Amino acid sequence: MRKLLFSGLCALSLLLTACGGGGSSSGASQTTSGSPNGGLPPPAAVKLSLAAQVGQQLFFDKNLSGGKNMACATCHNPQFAYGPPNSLSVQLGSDPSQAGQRAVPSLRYKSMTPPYNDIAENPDGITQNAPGGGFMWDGRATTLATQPALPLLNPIEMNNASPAAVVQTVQTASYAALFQQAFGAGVFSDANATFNAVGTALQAYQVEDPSFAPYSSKFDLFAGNKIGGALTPAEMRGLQLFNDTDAGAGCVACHYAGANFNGSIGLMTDFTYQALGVPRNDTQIPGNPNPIPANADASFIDMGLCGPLATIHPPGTANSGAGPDAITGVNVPDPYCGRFKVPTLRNVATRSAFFHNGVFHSLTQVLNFYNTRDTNPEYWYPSTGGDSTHPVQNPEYALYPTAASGATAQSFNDLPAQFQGNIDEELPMGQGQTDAGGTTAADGAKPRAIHSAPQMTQQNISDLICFMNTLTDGYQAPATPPTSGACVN
Amino acid sequence: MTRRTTAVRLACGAAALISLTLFAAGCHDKSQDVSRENFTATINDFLAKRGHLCLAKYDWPIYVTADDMAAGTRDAVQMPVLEKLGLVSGQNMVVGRTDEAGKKITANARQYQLTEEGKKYYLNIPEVVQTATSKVTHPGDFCAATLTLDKVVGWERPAQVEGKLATSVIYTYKIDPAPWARNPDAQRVFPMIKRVVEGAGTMQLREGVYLTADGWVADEVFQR
Repeated sequence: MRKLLFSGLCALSLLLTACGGGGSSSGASQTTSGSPNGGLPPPAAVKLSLAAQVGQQLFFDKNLSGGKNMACATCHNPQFAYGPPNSLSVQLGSDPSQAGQRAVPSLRYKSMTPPYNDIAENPDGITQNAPGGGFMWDGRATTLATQPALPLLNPIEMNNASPAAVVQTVQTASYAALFQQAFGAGVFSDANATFNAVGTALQAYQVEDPSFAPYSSKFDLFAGNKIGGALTPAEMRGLQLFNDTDAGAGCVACHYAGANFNGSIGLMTDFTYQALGVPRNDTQIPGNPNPIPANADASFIDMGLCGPLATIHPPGTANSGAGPDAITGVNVPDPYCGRFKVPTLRNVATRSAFFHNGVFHSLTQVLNFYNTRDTNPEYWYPSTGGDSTHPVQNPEYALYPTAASGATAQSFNDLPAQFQGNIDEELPMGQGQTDAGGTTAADGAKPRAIHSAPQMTQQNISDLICFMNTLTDGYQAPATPPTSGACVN
Repeated sequence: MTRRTTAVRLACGAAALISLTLFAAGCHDKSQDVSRENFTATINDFLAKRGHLCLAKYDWPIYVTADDMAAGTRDAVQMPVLEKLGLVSGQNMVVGRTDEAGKKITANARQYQLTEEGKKYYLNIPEVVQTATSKVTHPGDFCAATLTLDKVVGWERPAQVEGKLATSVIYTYKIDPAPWARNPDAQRVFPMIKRVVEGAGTMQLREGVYLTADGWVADEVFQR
């Protein structure tokens, strides 16, 4: 009888064991795959510092906005590589009647950015020093700790009335005690110290949390010679074009792929600033899904490093930076106007708003813009004159679907004519760097002649897109690589 | 007796260990896994429900006034093309409204209604349009194409987001445009169509997903 009892207990324990395990399966699912087709290794054991833990709370706190409806994560969505979760050119503000003036960048791969400097060192260790570094599209935030104050206090973004309003929110937040633990029990007695600590905490979070720099793309497998990283022929052709600054696309000249600052690698940026002459994002563009509201005012012209948001090099002033170019010796009156920061290309393939003003919504458009900006400006800029009774059909990727026969395109329509000498004429846009090292029109670099042959074919552009697809984080190599389809052969 | 009891205990323990392994595997809920299989099913389900490329023409009829035509508004450019394609029919009329001061304003306009052919492309599927701070649900929309999954490219490491275990799935798509959506004029006035059509097979999309008791579910919105 006792034996029978033991047997009964034994069976009962088996049942409990079996079904108890099932009940907690959601916990296991965070780290396991169980799939032969790939999966994630267990997450690295990362213990965030107290400051970073506070930063994490702040990052997702919608109360840190005037309307209590917008967190950092609202526009820098972790599910979208800390970039915008939609294709809007610019995002709406906490006050929904307001809209931003620039496209939201991804926050990934930012912590290694040096502070802005007019003569910043280039990470390639070769190229002569040039404007580089800093945060925001114009480098006007020095560090990741000072950057958050800009969106927090901007009326068209998070719209907090003052630093004091931010501090008050933090003091009453669920994480106030953690904040004090991280920054001192008396931190709330000093409003300035508290506001600065908000920035410090957000910086710590972005520096310490590995999701801000996961290095989990196919390109990372390729660069590390890891299983699953073999590039397809199409991707390899794209990489070769990317790297070829003589006869290819030459992207690497600015989207530098090598070892970078602070131990980073393959960021696809050298943190420099270039004036590309990106079309004005306004209602002149037919069917434009997202013109920037601020551009309805013709007097508003966003010129990047020379303002109006950045204030260190206002044009026509003693601080304009006028003087001979360091390489060519050519005198340039306002060399900073029209220049915006070169962004990382990691995760660019899953973005849907490109350049500082979000005027483009696909990589195909972007690459064709680079390719035909000079040769076919009528694709990208409004035109005047010509025979409007004979409209010429532009290619499907063009911003302007048609142009009057013989019309004159208003190139670089978002940069006043007196600053257009700063326009970058490197490949594939113009004819490339001069023998003297000039890269801009003012420095002697030549544009491509209108209606001359562009640098790249459509096949080249397809291959480049295939390569840029490999820069997307989260790549999971398939068990069996495809043998046909796009980006394969 | 003691020895025998110990033996039973040992046997029971051994059996329990074996059973633990077997049952843990048997009861393991695979729907919770981070796997290509699950995310493929999630995106297939998402695209079946939300994978329509629609054009933000929620409410009909649509009126285009003389001022709209002069200003070249979106509807003023797009509606004549849809009319030419037989999807809408237009009729000139005078429309009126009352302004904020209570004054009646009239304007010459063209009213556009969906034709029987056009109604085939008006899908009564709720469509959620989400911006940073608002979410608006429209009961239906005029749609130009349907997306289906090409392949899941990858997914990111799941993390807790606002109390839910969330990640994003990266995928490419196939597209089946409506016959009229292949028309060059239609693609000219609806640039979104041509961008999405040209990106089939190569343009990578992200979809946020989160874990539920029933497995991974796509975020409600087809955000664009």
